[in-house]
Amino acid sequence: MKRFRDTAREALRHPELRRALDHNTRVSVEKRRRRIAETPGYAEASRRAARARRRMLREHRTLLQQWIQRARSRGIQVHPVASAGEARRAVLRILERHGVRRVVKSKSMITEEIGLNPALEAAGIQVTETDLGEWIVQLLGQRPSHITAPALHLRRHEIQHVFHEKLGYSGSEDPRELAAFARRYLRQRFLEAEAGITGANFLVAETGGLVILENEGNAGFTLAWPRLHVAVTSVEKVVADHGDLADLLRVLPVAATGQRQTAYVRFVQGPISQDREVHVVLLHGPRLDWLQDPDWAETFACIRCGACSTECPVYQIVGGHAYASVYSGPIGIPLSFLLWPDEALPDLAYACTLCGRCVGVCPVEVPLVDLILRVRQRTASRALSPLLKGWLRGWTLMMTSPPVQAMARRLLRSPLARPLSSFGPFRAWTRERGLSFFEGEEP
Amino acid sequence: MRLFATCLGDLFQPRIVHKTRRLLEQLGYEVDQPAGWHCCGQVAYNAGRITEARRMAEHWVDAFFREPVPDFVVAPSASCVAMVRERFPDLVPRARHLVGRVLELSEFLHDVVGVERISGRFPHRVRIHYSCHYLRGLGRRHEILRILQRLEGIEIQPTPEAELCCGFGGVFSLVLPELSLAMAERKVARSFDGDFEVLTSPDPGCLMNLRGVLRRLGRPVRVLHFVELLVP
Repeated sequence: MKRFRDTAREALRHPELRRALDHNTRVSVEKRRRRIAETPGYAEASRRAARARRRMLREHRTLLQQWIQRARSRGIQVHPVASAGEARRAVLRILERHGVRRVVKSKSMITEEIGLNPALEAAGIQVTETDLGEWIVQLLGQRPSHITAPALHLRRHEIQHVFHEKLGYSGSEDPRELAAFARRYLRQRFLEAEAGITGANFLVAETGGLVILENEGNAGFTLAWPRLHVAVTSVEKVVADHGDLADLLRVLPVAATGQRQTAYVRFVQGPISQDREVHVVLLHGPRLDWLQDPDWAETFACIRCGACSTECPVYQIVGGHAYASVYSGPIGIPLSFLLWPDEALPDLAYACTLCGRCVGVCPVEVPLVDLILRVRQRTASRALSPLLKGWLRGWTLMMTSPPVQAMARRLLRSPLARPLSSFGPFRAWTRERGLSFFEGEEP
Repeated sequence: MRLFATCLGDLFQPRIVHKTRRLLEQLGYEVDQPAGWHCCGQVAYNAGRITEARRMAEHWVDAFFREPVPDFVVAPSASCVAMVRERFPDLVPRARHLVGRVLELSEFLHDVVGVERISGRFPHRVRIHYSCHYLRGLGRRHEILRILQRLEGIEIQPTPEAELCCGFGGVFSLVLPELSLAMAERKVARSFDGDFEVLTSPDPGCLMNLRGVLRRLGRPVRVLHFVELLVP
């Protein structure tokens, strides 16, 4: 079975990827830092946002019932689904009933999670992603490498190249020219589309409405131009009221992209005319179980800003694809473990130095380090090599049993000490640092 | 007070322990150092092996909180102190009310001894690696700076990207050695690419990691725990 150690090694071998990640994450980190410094009361706003999420964790059952009831009374058709398969089938049924052949999509991690695009394509439906970054990774046949910045792992000339290869683009790598080309191309797709599929950032229980954040205008086009709008989302997006929503909207764009506010905040309150339909496919499994579990519920307080990823020193080197999961970065570790217990990389929880930087930038105080340590506790037996496990047992014995320690002391002073120090799990460690453990002293 | 040498100190960097002890004695403290090697269990805890971590933590509590219970346990390692203060309350509930007495050396010098009692001479250009556990685990930053500023002749250069992890991560560097090394090289390029003579830190683990990489890169930088600057 593939391990994170393998995918990380692959990433380390690509200088181009390293350069792209290094540059793009640095820009993102600096923008966020500057914006936080320039936002008065950000820390307090973040505490309030964290409280809003804890309220969701406590009251999600009541809030969900309330949201579903009010959404339905607004004419929104709600389809609760328990699994990824059910979610895909629900979307397909809606599209088939309307004879839809062409769909435009705005960015949605839940549709990535349920594998919607391959299912639609298999049913003969043309799907076009319309978020620029998402569209680029779609053209490349890749998955997003970051929760909010899907093409974070690419450089301009690579985007120019894929536009040229796939669509005959002949312009420069100037971002404005690339964006203008994308706009012309996507405009046509919008006009042809018979349905628009979006995600949703928040479901407001107080009103029964959906809230969708975006910067490019593509989500607005996706949900308003075709007569059929299908939003695919999940239960933890529910918030109590517009007060909580305001607290979350204050911090999400700052944490995500260093913006004061997202360019557009779309409120969907139901179909605006008789000939239109709004559907919400609402995924609850296995989330409702985890939301009951005090060990893991906090994982679902996440609002998908992606700050933990761009700030993570591991992510900054290997990028999102090394996590081999829809969700990458620090939050991807508990999420992948909870959502795909059998498919997640067995040693994924070790893709973290426990440096704690993610916890410091998380706008809703998700205890990422604690969650990652908890995943380690559940996966250690299959993630760690037998040698390392044996070493840990031996180390424990040496540190807790005086006779064993006395023996170890004698061994350390013997000529065997040096070869032993560069054996097994320590070999790579000592070789690559050009030192043996016992040369740790200053020369 | 009791001195916790830490396992890295006991086994691999005894000089740090000797100098810590000498400094505390010079400041007039009676230093009690339990015999043998002691590990807080962080390596097992961070590996996800709770059983082993708890066994070491129990043993540690017996050794360092035994009667007469000391006013302070001092250790020259931020990450070990963070382990005891953050994780022991859950691992060894009987020690819950005592973990606040465990201080990292610079915390002890700053909060208890008082920086005005620190003096010495160290006429060198220095950069500080604050370490993740020092900054975020213990929530400290200025303490080590204020202590080192007491030294005559010292030139402390600012550390660019001080918050960036050096890639050690204890068990992380054993499970993912290539990645750990790439992170250490990046840390050196970002934070320690300049004209200075000494790199110092409150964390012996990071020091071991950075020392190896700097040596491999052929950089003529001495890598010292900050106590080695205070006690020549």
